[in-house]
Amino acid sequence: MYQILVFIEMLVASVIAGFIGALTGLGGGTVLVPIYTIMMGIPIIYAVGASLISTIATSSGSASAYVKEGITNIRIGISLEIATTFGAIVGSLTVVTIYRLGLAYIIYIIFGVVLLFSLYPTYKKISPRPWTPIRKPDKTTKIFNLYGEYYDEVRKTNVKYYGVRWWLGLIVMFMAGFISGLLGIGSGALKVLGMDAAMDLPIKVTTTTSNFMIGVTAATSSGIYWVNGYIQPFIAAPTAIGVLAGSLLGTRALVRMKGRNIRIIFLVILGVLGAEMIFRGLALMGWPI
Amino acid sequence: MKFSIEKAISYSLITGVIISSSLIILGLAFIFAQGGAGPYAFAQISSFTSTINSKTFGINEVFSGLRTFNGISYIYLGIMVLITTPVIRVVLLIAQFLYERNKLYFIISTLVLFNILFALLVLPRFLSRCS
Repeated sequence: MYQILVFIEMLVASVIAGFIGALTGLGGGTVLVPIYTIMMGIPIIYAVGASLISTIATSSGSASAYVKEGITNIRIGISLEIATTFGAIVGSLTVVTIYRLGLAYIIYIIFGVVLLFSLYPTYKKISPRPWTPIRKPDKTTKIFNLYGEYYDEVRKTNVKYYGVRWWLGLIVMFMAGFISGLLGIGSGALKVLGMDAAMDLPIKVTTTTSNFMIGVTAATSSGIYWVNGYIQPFIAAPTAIGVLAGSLLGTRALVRMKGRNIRIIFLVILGVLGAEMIFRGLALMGWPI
Repeated sequence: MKFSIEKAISYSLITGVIISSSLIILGLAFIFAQGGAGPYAFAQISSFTSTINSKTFGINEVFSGLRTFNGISYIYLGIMVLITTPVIRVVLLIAQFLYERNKLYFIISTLVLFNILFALLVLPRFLSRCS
């Protein structure tokens, strides 16, 4: 009986994580792992394993809608995936080494730090401004054909845009892939940062394109997670289903929601979760907290 | 009708997610109905510190367990289907760039596919041999 309660608890936590993840744009995994590890006491390897699988489900489940709408810039997405997939391989191999050496506390600390640093780009995503060119098109704009067009709801018109500094985006994307493989999350915030701050792409396009990329990145890490036994069936199953359901609900709620305040409150809660992860990591390391 | 890669991608993703969720839910239903899966008792499977995981439950067991309605096999098959959805997405993109005769992007997307397949098929074998 107790185990069935635990199962329901995991399912509910996953739905909530998926919902908040979609609402804030952080992604379900980022919310889920702190809940699983700190609040429920699930071993971190099973928590990140389940999180990684749920990330694929969310990306594939919601991207189908975005791709249909045509906001996603597939060309920019796939060109940057060279770096995210490579980063994911390096990241997941690194995490395997870290766990084998018994240094799991490092993962708690990095998770907390990444969560805290994700809050700013996520906050920025919540208040999108219409796109205006900052830099002139450079060589990579032309070589990689980084042009596109999207419908802007504020201006009620189509906006033509272009991206610059593809190479810089590539470097940030390697980091995003690395973090994704390391922590079993989509690291959408870093992907957005790469396209927004490095490549000057409009925030609306970066958000949906990053969602398109997350699944490919997570799938890359999944093989290495798999052979190392991070995927526990009874934990991964309710997580994948719950986060997917929660994120689909969250995406719908987002369309109806006008105010930003609720989402900012959630970001503050996530900040607390991030700090908790760091404290847990330091405590595991042997700090007297 | 014009061939639309966006639609093809969209439908393949939706189909993949539906098949995979159904398999996962079916697997859970088997576990609950049978009070376990194959030789494993429910308490063994559901413990947070369970040693039943993707390393101890091998790929061969996943496929052989399907015939005996082993819930774990169905869950793992569902997860495998899920993992292939982004891969199919990249394959469809390669087809699109080939169709458009976009040489640069054909090469780029092929490189991405190479990375994924390397990480999914080659590296795990190498790793399991090492440990």
